[in-house]
Amino acid sequence: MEFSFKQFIRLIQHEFNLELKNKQAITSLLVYSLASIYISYLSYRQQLDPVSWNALFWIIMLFAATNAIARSFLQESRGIQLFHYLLLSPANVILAKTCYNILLLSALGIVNLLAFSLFFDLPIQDKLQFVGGLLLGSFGLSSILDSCIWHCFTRKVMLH
Amino acid sequence: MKTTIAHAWWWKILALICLFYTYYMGFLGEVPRMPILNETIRNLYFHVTMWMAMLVLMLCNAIYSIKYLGNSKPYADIVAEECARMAMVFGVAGLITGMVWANYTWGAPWVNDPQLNGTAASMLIYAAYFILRNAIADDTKRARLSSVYSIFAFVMMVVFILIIPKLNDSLHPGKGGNPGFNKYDLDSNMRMVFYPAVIGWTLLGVWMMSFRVRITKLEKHYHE
Repeated sequence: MEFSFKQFIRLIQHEFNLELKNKQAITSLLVYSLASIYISYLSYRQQLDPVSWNALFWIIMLFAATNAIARSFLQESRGIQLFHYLLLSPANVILAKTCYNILLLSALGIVNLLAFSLFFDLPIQDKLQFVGGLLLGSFGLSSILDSCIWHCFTRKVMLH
Repeated sequence: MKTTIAHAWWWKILALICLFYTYYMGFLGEVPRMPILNETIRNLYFHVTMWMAMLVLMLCNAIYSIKYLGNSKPYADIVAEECARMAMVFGVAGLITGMVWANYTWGAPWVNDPQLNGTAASMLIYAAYFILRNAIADDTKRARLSSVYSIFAFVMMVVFILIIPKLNDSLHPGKGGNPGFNKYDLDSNMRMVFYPAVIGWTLLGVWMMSFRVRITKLEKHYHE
């Protein structure tokens, strides 16, 4: 089966529906990142130099990304997975998942940036450039983590 | 009895009148002039009253959770959840109005203040309440666990919002030697708007909560 754009769009819609049906994943993601930002605010007490700011921001993003992407694979039941296996091309499924996760992580990155700017002073000089870097970063994170987890995941499914 | 109060219309009219009065007097009424606060003192009618409404709704949540543990009726659990959800809406609204206010009086939307820290902690506690609710698939188990959790959460919130800020110096008006609202409460000009505003926001919260309860009941009925 080759790539078809219609199928790809339908799969992204399916991801959105899954997320809306079960809001637990996205809520826990938000609470995780807000709570960790808040804890770092309480411990740093506004004495955060730009280097640590950057490290903290990306560590929180990285952990949130691993959580989000791992959960997006576990969310679907085994029956649905078999259904996808029978009907859809694997390239489509993984592309749709990656694209959805890119959107999710970019949104999360912007929310994190807003929360950081609320609690700490923003050391960023060029905000537009940082947001561009953030979007590219979430693109890279989600594609690399998607392919990693997909690799482990398909092996697990095959072993069953 | 619950149906008679939910279907009665007089308190909805009262809520509308109170809120209209709050908005009218809040934006156009006379307020005392204070050195730093100036016109931002009008936020008393919105920010503080929303927190009051949130506290009342959280109290309802705790009461209905205890009720559920007593009688195990699903209705009590639905009301408890929707109370918490409405309280979160008012909490977030109160947080946003507070941040806008703080930006103009303290110079930053978020400062290190015991009241603000307690608020953030209790908001996170109640966010965890919703995660807990979503994480459990079984209806009765979810209801029981979340009832117990919400009792603890309410106690924690009272400690965080009402007790700890009183023990420390806070930047809030009326605390830690800052000019407060109590001085001009004496002329009772502001009280005349403050109390109707509390009643109005609380009734609005209960009204929206009753809508949500009806929607949830219909959804449950539909899925069964």
